[in-house]
Amino acid sequence: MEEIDERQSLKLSLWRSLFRFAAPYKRRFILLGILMALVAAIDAFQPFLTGWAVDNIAIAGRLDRLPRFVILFGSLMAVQAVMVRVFIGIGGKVEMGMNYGIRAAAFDKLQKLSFSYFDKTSAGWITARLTSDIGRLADIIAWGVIDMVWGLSMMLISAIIMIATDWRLALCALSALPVLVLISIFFERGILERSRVVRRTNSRLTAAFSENIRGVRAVKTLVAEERQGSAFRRLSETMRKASVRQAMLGALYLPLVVFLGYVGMALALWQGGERVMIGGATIGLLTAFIFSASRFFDPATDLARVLADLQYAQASAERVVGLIDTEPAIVDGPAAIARGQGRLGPRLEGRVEFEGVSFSYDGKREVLSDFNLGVEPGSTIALVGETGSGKSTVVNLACRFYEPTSGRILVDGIDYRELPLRYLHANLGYVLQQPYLFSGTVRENIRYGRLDASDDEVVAAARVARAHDFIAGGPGRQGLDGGYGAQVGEGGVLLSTGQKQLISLARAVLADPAILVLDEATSSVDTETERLVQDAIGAVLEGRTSFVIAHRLSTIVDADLILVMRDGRVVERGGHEELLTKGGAYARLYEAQFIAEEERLELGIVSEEVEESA
Amino acid sequence: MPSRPFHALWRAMAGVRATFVGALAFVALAALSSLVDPLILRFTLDSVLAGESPDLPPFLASGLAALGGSSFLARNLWLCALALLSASLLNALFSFLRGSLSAVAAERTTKNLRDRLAAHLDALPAAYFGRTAAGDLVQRSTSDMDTVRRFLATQVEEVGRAVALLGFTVVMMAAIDGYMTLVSLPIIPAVFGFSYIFFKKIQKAFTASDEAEAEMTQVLEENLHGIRVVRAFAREDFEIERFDAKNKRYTDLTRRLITLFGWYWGISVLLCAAQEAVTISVGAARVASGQLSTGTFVAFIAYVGRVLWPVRQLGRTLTEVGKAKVSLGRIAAVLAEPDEYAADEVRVESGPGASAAADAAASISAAPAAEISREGRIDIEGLGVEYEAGKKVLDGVSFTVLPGETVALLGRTGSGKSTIAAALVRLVEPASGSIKLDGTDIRLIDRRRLREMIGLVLQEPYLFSRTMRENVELGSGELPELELSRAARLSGFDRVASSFEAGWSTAVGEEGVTLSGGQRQRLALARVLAKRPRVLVLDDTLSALDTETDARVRRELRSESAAAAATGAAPTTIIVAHRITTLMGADKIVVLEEGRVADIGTHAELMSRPGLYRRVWEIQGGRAFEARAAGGGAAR
Repeated sequence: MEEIDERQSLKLSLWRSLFRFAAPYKRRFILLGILMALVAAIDAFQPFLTGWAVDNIAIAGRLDRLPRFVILFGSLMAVQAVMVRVFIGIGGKVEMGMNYGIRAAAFDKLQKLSFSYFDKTSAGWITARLTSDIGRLADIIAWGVIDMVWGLSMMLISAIIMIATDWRLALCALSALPVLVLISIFFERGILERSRVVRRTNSRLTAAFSENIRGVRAVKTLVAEERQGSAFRRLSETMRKASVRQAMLGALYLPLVVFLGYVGMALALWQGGERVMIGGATIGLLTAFIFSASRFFDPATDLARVLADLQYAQASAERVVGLIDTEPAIVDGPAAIARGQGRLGPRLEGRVEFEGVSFSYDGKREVLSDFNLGVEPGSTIALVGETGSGKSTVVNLACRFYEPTSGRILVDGIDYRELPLRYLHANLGYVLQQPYLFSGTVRENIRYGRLDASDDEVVAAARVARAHDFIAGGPGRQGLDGGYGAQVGEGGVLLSTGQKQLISLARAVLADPAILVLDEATSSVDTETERLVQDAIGAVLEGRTSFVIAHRLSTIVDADLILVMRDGRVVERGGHEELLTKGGAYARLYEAQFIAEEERLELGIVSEEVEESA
Repeated sequence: MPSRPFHALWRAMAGVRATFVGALAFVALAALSSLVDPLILRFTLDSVLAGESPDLPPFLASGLAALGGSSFLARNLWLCALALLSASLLNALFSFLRGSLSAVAAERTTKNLRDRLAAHLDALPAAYFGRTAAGDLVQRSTSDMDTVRRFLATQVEEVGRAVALLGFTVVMMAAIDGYMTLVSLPIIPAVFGFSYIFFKKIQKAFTASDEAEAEMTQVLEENLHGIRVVRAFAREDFEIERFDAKNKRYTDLTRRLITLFGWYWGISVLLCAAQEAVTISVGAARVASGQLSTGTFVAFIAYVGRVLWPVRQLGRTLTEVGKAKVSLGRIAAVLAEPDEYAADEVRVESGPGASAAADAAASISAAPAAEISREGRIDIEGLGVEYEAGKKVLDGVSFTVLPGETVALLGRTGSGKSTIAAALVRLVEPASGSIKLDGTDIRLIDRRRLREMIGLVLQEPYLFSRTMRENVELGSGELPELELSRAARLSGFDRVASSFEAGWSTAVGEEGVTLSGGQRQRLALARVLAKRPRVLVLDDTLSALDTETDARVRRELRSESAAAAATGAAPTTIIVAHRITTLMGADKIVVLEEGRVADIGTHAELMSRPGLYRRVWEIQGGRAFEARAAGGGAAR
């Protein structure tokens, strides 16, 4: 977990880069500022209106002025109520608008970022950025501004009214201000510091709970309950102490601020009272000052909180801006943009050539060196080899998920860096090792291959991929509950791995790509499903250029060209018979693959790919 | 067992109940002391400045008279200011005590509840975790716990404060002017009622916004996990549209929620202003007609202003209390689950071997497992296990493992091998039949002692986010270097540890992500070996190792065993495996099919008849391949 220091001072440049998301709301922000100043003005003015009533109605005995007071007070408060309703509405629009805008920008960026970004960044991390971080930012920007403007205006306007009315009494009422500022600075730091400890401890506590729950079998079999328990209790105690320490500061700070308000009030009572006795002030004025003084420090706690929140939010801002400003590693160059102008070209033929391609993920270790390969349209290339031999790299490069470090890849005779990325991907199909389905219906998942496909076309694709029977039912077998409309994923029907594979194959059939990449996965399925999957793969590969990371003997044997890879190089290439008679690396791999397949069917075990010994 | 939320809370309050009472007392005192200053104002305005006869309790009145009456105070007005300050200082003190005592009490209670929940989770039967989602349990332990904490730390205090303020204010108002009291209170119930109803009603809007956010998050997560599919089908625009729809919906719903709040606060301002206007107008009129003193009038304005805010908040706080009750219920429900020892007590008391169990319980204290265990003989008799009633995972399984023997289990996925391994350490309980360790039914042996004697290594081991060394020492406690290197050598983990720069101090990351499957398995083996169990159960533990490393680990284990055999202390080993090389080396192989024993025998015996074992031998020995190759070479 990364730790961004929350103690750092405010970074203006960071906030400035978030301003672009606030820009559409510039007028609303100005309106908010004016509204909050007005709200604060009424709040600040109210005690003086009350004071006026005390003097000019009550003490003066002028009941005839009462209606005037009621109308004035009533209309001021009505205006206040309307302004409150309006500023909350605008605040909501600004907050949620920024929320929406920043999140949409971040999501757009995610669709452009290259895989090298996702290799380094976990999905959980990104999700947290797009949800809680952005939420916190929008909240602090919208409501922080509101609280800040209101608080400062309230203090300022109160001070101005007091000074204008009676500067000596004003000095009394405001005398505690410097102390308040000092105390607030002191406490704000302390509270920030302590709540950081609490938050850090809290996340450790969450991790501890999570580990104990997910690792409960380990704890039990190792009889580690006592050891785990005492470690947990220590952490829990740390949490308790830290929380109490944090709460203590708050418990001290708030009463202190209130007390400071009373100091001003007491001074106003003393000095004001003496002035009343010598006739220098009225009871009403005194009352107004006393009420004003007691309210004057109310915004202080809000201001301290906003400042603290702003510092927390800075860490969020840094992460969010970092994400939005990340440059994708793969972008269309000028040539590609020129070529892609306006329209996508015709369907590719599917000729793929690797010319002296080398690749490294980290810039240090080469995982593919001087790789050469020419693939005729419509042929199937099977890639076999141990984990880490470079099979996946070949596939990733063919898809242009990554680009070669050196050398080049031609598609239909053109360096693919000169083709628009979208165009290339529109001609590409990819079937994952672990089939990935989105939540939604079976039909929607298949249609993902081609969005404008009709229902009939979806069914036709499912038939080709041998998925129709298990979806819609067939002779002697029941289909899914709901057929093509059945929901998959959370809360939907439970599909077996084999069924998911068939659906994702149907998706690729519907897309009808010129180039298909298949990262073949084997799983523990019954022989019937296994036969279906093998048939489906055969049908899907038919008539298009295919790269297969192959695990099934049938796929390997039927391939037009088999590449045996090791350490980023092709050690053998050729047809099945040819390589088998050679008795080299392929023959050994084939035997291992054979054993693995037999085992899988006999024992239901999916052997993991053999690791290189460490 | 029914869950009793408040009982659980009451129990967790042990030790701080008095503190809670103290906190509540200071809530009342703080409320009371915050209501004194309007009285001082009233006195100052009326008796000091206006010179009316003071309306004071007798003891204060006589004290004042002794000093020289109101005129003395008029000459020394600072005394009134001082009284005001003293009252507010007292208020600050009480507020601080209220805040700190309730923090102390709330945090201690939360800690107690948290610790009890953690301990209880460790004691729940393994089966419970099979049927309960881990994420849900984590949520109960963390966010629900925090909701309860906030309830204790702030909401109790807030509700108490609002009630005390309201109560004391009414009493004080009534004491100084009955008429004005009636005038100053009528809208307050409306303010409370409005706020309570509003916050009740708005829950639905909250839920809608939460659900919209969850939907949006789901689209985001699916996009991230399926990013390869998205890219390969060039569906970026489609995804952006899909996300945008969810993003917009969430934005709209939340904005609508905020607008509702706008209405709430706007109306609330109006209601409060109405109450203030009534009090000021009626008060002013009564002062004008001489029925009310100016000081009393000002005091009433102060009181009304002071009581409105907490009442406005009360509605919100009460709905939060409702949420806290739900959270507490969710925690209590986990606590009410019977732990894995609950059933034991019954058996131990009524069972035939009650005294043996008592002995076992007595001897568990400090003796290391190896000493209290005798032989290491295991008898499984007619073992039946069902996870769901009627669905037998194991059915009538019987076999015996003699002390020091190695027995291998072979079977298809789902044939019940792992269930046997789990039953040996009572992670699952048999529905029928029994398992005996050295003649004692394991149900009569304390689980922890049993697990000290029988060490189970799981196929997919869970590693903790600590260093390698701490992971190995998880079950054994701090290990001497010699023991550590022994466990590392036997498990083959020594080579792994030394391949990292920081060696044993290398952190393995969350759930051991920085290690490969094979490395994780070796670490899991090492941590069980470090405990020197009498019986070692390997549940497909070496499956992710390459054949060479696998062979080396087994060689090490065998030679250690042979050395130990000389002193009669060789561990009994039960090993679930599918590698023929592993199976062949066992003294006996048990073949399982669909929860039943299909065959038992030595390698030679099983090879002499057709069956799963011979078939696996043919496959892995390459015979099947050779036969296929000879038969024409084409694949199926």
